[in-house]
Amino acid sequence: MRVLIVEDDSALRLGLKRTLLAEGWQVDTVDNGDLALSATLTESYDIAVLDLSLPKMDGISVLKQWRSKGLKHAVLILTARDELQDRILGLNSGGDDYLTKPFEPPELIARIRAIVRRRTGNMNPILRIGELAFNTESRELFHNEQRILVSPREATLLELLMGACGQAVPKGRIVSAMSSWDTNFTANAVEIYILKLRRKLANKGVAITTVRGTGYALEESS
Amino acid sequence: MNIFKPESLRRNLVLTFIWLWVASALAATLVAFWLAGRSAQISFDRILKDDALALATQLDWDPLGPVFAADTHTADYLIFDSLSPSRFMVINQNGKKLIGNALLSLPPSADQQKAGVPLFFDSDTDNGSLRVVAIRIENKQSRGYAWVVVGESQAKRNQISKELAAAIFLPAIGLAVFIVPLLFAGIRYGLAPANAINDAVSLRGIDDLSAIPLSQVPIELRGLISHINDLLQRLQEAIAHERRFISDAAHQLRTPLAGIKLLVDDLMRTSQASPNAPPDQEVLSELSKASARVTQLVKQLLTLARSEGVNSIEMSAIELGSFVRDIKNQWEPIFRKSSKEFNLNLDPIALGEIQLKTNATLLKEILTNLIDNALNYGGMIVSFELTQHEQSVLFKVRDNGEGVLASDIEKMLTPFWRGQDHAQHGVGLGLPIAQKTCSLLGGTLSIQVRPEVEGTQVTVKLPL
Repeated sequence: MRVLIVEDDSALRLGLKRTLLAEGWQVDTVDNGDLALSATLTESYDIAVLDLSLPKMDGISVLKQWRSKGLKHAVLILTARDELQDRILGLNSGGDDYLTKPFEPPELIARIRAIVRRRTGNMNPILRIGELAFNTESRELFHNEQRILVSPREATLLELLMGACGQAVPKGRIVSAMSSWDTNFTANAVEIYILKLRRKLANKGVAITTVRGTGYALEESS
Repeated sequence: MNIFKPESLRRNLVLTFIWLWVASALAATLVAFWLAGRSAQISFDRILKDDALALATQLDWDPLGPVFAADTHTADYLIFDSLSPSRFMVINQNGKKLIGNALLSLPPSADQQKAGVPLFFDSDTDNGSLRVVAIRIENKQSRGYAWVVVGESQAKRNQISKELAAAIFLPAIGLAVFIVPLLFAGIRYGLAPANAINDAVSLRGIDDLSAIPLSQVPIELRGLISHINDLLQRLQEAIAHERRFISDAAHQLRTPLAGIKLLVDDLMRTSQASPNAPPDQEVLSELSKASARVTQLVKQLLTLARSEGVNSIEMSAIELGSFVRDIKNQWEPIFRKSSKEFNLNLDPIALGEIQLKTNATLLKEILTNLIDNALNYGGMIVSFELTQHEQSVLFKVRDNGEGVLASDIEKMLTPFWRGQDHAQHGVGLGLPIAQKTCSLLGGTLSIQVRPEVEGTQVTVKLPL
């Protein structure tokens, strides 16, 4: 999952980034409203964690611009203001949820997961294909209750493939989800991670197939 | 007015009305009594005169003088009075009694009395005090004349006076029995709207600061209630301002605290995962900066809170020349380090022997605040100017940056306002604090922007 953090306080920005990175997500950060708009023009994000009090352009304006441009990524509003009017304004402007500072890191993670689950329509945190089960919260992979160790990047790739329920996931989307500005991820690197996953999933009743011209799909093998 | 004992409006009204009523009722009854008494006297005198004239009809006239034609019995019959027996006598010009049942003396002034004109007088006799009328009767056929004198007891008139007094004063006293309760009821009715407002205000909740509706307030109280409404309005604004300030202060603290919380959690997580690895330097550095920001914010909040409650401060004379030299020495190295220009434009007159009575520590705080703002948010050139204008000293801190809009000047002095391009540090308390401190020193703080000046200028004006 790729996350954009829009926060002008440097300590909070770094804290958010490290908290979300620890979840194995790809994280980009910006410190003002103008940069938040620019970032979403060139990159594709699953969710943005957006502060409301920002230099250059305030968070509500950023949010309205995203929605007016047809950008559909989820938005978790993060702000110090907790008056009812502020919450209503944030949600009416296109925000998915609202979190008041200061907050506990597990609550932040849980809310981000809940928003993404709602967005994808998959309300169960456990993704299943055949005898394979992937817990999107603990990011653990099981085959018949036996845990298979996967790296954070492999987990991100698995989540994408299993979340698509047998449909092909475009290679570009995989690259985007596994990239951040700090780590430039290439299409070739995707193939390496596909290869690694194929080895770990060999003889587990599933197969990663290459869909020509599109990308990859994870299916139950017969 | 007694300022220690609260006055009762109702008591004042009741006492005033009662006194007014008693005085006027007393005056009216006394006048009525006097008029009635006088009218009775005139009537009795007229009857007395008629009695005398009736006796006069019984006079016969000889060429030498008058002769009374009737006997005493007939005379008594002519002037009979059932209430008090009348005394009478008829004498001729020589004083000889022609008839009569009493000896009544004439007053000395009787000699000048014209004939036919009654002379009334009071006379004390053996039979008590009498009211007497004397009429001199003359006749053309006779050289003599006669005095017809008739008297009656004053007791009759005294009796009538008593009856008149009872007839006038008793109803007046009786009227008072009705009037006084009516007066109380009338005053109570008149004061009812004021009492209604009193009750309505006392029944309001302690947090209810809404305006008292003027529609039901009597005209006489509208001015007062209107003033109270103004005060309530100002109180509401002050409370709203305080609440907003506290809320803003809490918000300003929340952001760095949220960052500190996440970074500390991160340090704990990473140290558990790799106990021997050194802590991440970037995290430590951000933690240190965030703690410094929180400390600075709390310090500024306390400064602002303290300045709100201060009424007077210690002032002493400072020599402006050395004060400005200190500022120059303090800031020049900082500007060199930041590659910005710091220009000092000092009025030579002001730098002379001029002494300024102020609080040096607070003045330095204000100027530090302004120069720091210009350094951090302003353009590449910061100017510091000191001039004397009439009986004031002007400190001007100007930078040549883009500046703010004239419409934002007022907002700049509002706590926590940071503008659109606010930098990472600074919470928007510097200028409000400087302004408050300025007023503590008896001066003013004003902001000038383009096109009045090139950039942004803050002027501190202190009285000499």
